[in-house]
Amino acid sequence: MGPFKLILLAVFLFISVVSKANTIEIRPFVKGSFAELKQEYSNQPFVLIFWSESCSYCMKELAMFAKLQGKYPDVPLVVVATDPFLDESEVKGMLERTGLSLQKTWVFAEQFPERIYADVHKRWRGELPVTHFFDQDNREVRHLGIVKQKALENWLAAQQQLINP
Amino acid sequence: MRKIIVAVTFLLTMSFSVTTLAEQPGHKPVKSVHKTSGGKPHKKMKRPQIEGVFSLDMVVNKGRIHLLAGRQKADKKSLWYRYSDDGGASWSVDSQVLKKDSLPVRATRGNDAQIVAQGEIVVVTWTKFDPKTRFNSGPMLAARSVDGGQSWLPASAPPDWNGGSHGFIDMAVDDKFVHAVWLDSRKAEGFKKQQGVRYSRSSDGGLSWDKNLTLDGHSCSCCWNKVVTDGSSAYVLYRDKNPSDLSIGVVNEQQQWQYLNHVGSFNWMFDGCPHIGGGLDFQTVLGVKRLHATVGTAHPKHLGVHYLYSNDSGKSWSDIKTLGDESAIHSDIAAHEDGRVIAVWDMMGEVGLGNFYAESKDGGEHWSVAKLLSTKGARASHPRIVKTKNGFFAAWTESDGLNQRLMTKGL
Repeated sequence: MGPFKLILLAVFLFISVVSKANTIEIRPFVKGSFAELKQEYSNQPFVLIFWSESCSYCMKELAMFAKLQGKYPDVPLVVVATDPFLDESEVKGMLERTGLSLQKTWVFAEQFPERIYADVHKRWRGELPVTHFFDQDNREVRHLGIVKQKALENWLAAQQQLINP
Repeated sequence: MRKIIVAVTFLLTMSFSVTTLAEQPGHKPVKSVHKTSGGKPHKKMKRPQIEGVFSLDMVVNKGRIHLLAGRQKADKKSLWYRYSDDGGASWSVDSQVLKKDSLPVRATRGNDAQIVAQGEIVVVTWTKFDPKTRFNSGPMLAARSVDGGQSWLPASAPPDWNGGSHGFIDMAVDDKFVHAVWLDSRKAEGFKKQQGVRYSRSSDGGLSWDKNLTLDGHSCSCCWNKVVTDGSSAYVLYRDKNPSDLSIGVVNEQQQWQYLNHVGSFNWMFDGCPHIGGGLDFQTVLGVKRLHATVGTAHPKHLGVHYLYSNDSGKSWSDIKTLGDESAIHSDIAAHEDGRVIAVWDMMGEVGLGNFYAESKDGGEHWSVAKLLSTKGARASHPRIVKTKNGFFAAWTESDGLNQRLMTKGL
């Protein structure tokens, strides 16, 4: 291979990897998405986290998840912004502030968020943060308010242990 | 030459390796693509351009209803004032605050720009939109009119601390003072630097403001406050922490703060953002003063909006009377000297939130069934109500998803 071809190849590889690394999928979360996600992640543990750009407690909780993310990589985090049509810049801002690493995330794509609240839980009126824990038997535990780190770590460790005994 | 090429290739390859780490936990992706829930690529998710009324507040002073609406057209936001001397049957010509088509306003329903009036003096306040700050929330801004809202000038805002944003403002007047409450995150004595309830008053119609008081150094960070006056003291309803129930206290004429009680002792322990406040109004019937309140809570056993009254200016409260169903959220209340009390609130209807009201003709002892206030089939939220000379006047917003309209009704 000639020298210039070698350089071109290296540059191409560099650009393609940078491009891939800087990508996050933003998916619309609408009425019905909750059921779809439960189906998509059925029979595996996962955590569904709802947040808002105006919720300081949410940022604290997401930062806590970020710290534990590397330790429990087999438990997917499904992170959903409840601000209708939240700008990408706000999503990126959240990722930067919290240190969370996501391949994909969701944003409410319904002008009237209460319709989604009711679809997710009939008694939810928009209080945040709210976190849903699903185990591999699809059992759901819903927690309103910021999650206690110890309880969170215990739950994640238990799920990780079941996946990789 | 070959050595240079090899070196460049090596450096680029190293960059490749380092960049790959960006996919690992703790590193930040920065570019987005969009897919549907099912994974099929689709067009970039686009926020609909909402136009119309994004902010609403009103007060009554000397029989005149003063109404402030925030309006958005394309990307431009502006504030508009109007008044009515006949209970909302007819209105003055709209006056644009500061005559600006584009004001930096950070407001939404539940965190609205505020208005207060003392005769011909009208004061409006709002949180500045500042894209450089977290939540885009900047300091409080103010404008003032001394000719009944015909012309406006920028005015000094109540806060004497500008180290962060101010939000969830409310104001009230009596014959002597203009009272203002809001939330900000200054460090107060005995508290960490965190969101708390601050107060200031003006004795010159909003021209200047007194040294700020911290009423509670740790409060809900995202719930609206309510201040009313009985003619000499300012009563402040706000969402407390530990528990996250609404609390009330009073600032007397000597500017001394006294915490009074919870309004609805639900013992709701919640480390989060409820985004719910309440309503408060005084009523004097046959010389007996009664304070009426609506409070919202998401306590699992008390979910919804509740009514309570106090016969000792907030020190103790009646049992709760639940208004609406569990989905009720945002509420307000007004109490007339003729004994009538009307509470308004929003709760889930056919197409999302709708507005409802209930009336008591005996000072809050007995209540009518809930009646629909907003247009049937319309999505409506955040109703407000004030008492007028001869009755009540309610205002709210209705939205079709693209346009949000101001709606009103005399009751």
